[in-house]
Amino acid sequence: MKDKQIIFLTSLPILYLVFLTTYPLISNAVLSLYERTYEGELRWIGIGNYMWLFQKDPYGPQIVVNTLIYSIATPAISTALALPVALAIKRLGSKWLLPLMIPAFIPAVTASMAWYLFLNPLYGFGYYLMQLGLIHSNPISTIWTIVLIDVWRAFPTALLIIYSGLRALPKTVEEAAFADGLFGPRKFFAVDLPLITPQIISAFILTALTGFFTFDPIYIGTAQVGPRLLDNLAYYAYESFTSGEFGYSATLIVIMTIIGTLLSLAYVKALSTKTFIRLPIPRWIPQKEVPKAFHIMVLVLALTFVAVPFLWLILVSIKSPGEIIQVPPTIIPLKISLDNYIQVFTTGLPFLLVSTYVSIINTLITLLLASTAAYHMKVHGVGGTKLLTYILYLMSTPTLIYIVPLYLLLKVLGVLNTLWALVITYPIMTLPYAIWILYNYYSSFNKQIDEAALADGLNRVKTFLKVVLPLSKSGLGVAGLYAFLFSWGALIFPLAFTSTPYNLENPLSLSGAQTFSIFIGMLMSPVTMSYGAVAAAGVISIIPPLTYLVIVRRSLEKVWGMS
Amino acid sequence: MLHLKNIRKSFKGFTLKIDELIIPDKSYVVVLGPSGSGKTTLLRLIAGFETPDEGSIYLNGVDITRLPPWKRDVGIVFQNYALYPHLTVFDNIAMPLKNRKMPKDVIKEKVEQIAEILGIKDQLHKYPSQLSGGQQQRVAIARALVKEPKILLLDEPLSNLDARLRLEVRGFLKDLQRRLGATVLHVTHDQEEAMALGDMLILLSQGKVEQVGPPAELYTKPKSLFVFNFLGLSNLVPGEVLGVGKGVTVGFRPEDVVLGEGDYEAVIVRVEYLGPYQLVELDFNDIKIKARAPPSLKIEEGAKTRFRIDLNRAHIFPK
Repeated sequence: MKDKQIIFLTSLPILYLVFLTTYPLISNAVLSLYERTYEGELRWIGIGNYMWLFQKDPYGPQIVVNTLIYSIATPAISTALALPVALAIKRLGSKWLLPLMIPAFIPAVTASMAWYLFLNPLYGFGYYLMQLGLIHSNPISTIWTIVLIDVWRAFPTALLIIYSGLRALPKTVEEAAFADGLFGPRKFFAVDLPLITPQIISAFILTALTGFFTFDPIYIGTAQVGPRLLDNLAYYAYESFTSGEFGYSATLIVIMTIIGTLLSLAYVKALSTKTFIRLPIPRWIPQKEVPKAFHIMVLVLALTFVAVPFLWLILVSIKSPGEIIQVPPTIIPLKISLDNYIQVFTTGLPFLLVSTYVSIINTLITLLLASTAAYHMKVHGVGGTKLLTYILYLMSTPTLIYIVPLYLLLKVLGVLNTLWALVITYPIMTLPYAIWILYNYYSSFNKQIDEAALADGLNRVKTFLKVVLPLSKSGLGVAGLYAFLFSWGALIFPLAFTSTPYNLENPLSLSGAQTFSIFIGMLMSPVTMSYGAVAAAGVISIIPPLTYLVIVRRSLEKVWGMS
Repeated sequence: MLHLKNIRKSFKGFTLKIDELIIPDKSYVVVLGPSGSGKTTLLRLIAGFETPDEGSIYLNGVDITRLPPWKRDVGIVFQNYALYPHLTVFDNIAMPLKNRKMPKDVIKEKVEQIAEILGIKDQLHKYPSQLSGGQQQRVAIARALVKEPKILLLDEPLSNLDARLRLEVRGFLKDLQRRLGATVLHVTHDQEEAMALGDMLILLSQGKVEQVGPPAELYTKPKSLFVFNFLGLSNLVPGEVLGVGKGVTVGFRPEDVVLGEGDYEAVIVRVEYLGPYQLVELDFNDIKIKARAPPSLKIEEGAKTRFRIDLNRAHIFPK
């Protein structure tokens, strides 16, 4: 039954989301047909921007090649790594999943920065890697470092999807395989692998989206090696935007939107795929259970891969300034110094404050809007499958594609470079994910509780506030984790919409709103080069999301279907 | 008095059609029907969770058709009880009153009073998860009754209880209704439960009312083959076989078959000893007939027996 009160409750989140996402999509398409003249006016040039990219832009070919490498290598490596690790977790217990999932809960800018510190050929562990002959070229200036960072960030997603596929294998099939005398790797190739085909395809496409739209690692990497070398379409679009070429930026974004949409469609298709990978099983594949030691080794390697950048980050953050630029670098600090942390808390304070404010505000706004929307979508069918599909689509599109139109919109509103700019735009990146999580959460909600409340005389608004919300704690906890994480680690929106740090001299003006992620980027730039401070800032940026993760881990495991 | 008039409610491939239905005050009314017959839809229409496509619902003369559930004077007990898991038993029962902004001491008094009646006064501080199924149901009934509704709706209230508890609660529900003088509308698919409880039965089939009346009337004077078949055990035999007439079906109950005498002869296929009586299955010219015999009668499976049918109590249905 749809009545006025339901419409009242759901219209705000849905109108907000639909307007602030469809308007930019259309606006991009229009803007891409214009170029900026020397006088700063927009001039109609038809498909001129598109012609320029494919025929004349001197960076064009390299950027296309980089984008292709990122979007193929990242999913291929992530999925290939996730498979053996998922099998190891299945053997050794699901408690190992959470530690391996941690990279998914670290701000991308921090993860990128930590890897660059680790691989630095003079002051980082990269020095020893080169000495030992494990790598030959400077690790900082290669696009494969970007792939490495993206694999580190994306592999938990692949792992989660593939592992839940393995867990969902029907017990009877496993027993039948057992009765048929299939064991170990032979059983894996004959039974498991074909049956988890949909999960493998899903994992591949989702990690491909990470690689295709990758931004933060390039932002950090470019600060180390200089412009254009590492660029993909996404980063190049951002650079065009910052240099005022809105039309060209919009052109690049339109192309990315089309490719991203195709990938999302492929993803939705993969969710319902009925095809199965069937490989001929070579004879040499052993028909014997793999020794447990092998699975333990896989798990230890995976945990090491996850832990390495953290360990290095912590070690660097407590080194004294002199020791940091020592060649060869020390691994264990000679003496522990907290100078770096003091520097971050003094010079970084305005950035830290803005990030804290906006993360908390946006988490609360997101939870309120998302729970109202998700509950009524699930329980009362508001919006139907169309709205749900659109939400799924928004989840797989990055915030980058909104920056040009939203920048122009915020300019008109006169809120650029204020906290308001972030508060208005942040829900765009957090709402779809939160709605999706809560939508699934409400699938198991007892609808009759809602009806009992109505029969007890509560109207719809009261029913929602007094009965539904108190019963949604664990769902809200998990949705809040993602909302907080995305807000806390956001880079593209603050880069696009703010330009100065929060003005502490006049705090009530709420002007200046650069975030902590921008602060980290600034510290990484060749001008500052304060590796100690950036490491300390990285450690600080990890603490809030990890604390939140630990608090809601039980609910999170429930959402993942682990308990 | 609840009065439904010209109600139409359609879903995909299903329509509930009620021309006129009156639920008298202070009576125990049971809505009975197979699954998919529309009994839950009827209940949800009265509670206000659905609005009819056409027609009106009047409660004591007031048109409540378009009122939202929270403005109707209707109490409902859900099949799975739908208690608020985050509230204590007291707060669960108090919910409807709190919402009417009653003073605290009045709420306390009313909650304790209804808890006393339902025998759950010592459970008020507990949470629903700490209660047994039967106790949870009493809380749900208390919550529905505390606001003194004009009608109490019970949705399959016995289906979540085990067999022994079911008999006990059955008696309890009827007692409660009599003691409070409440109007109760009880929905079930179990014909035995319906006959035991109802002052009045409403038998639904495929979205239509088949027959309304006291249980004895529906059992002894069924208006249709469906009603006859749905209530109790039944035999259906073509008229020609019994020599009663052509083109009709004769329906009769097992208790109207007398064994050991009469004009017909049949083979005894199976005997079920049930304590107070024996249920005998006969093969009469390839037609199966169920008969009831006293427990002392000696019957052997495979033997032949004569029997007669009390045709005065049989029903003739057109084919």
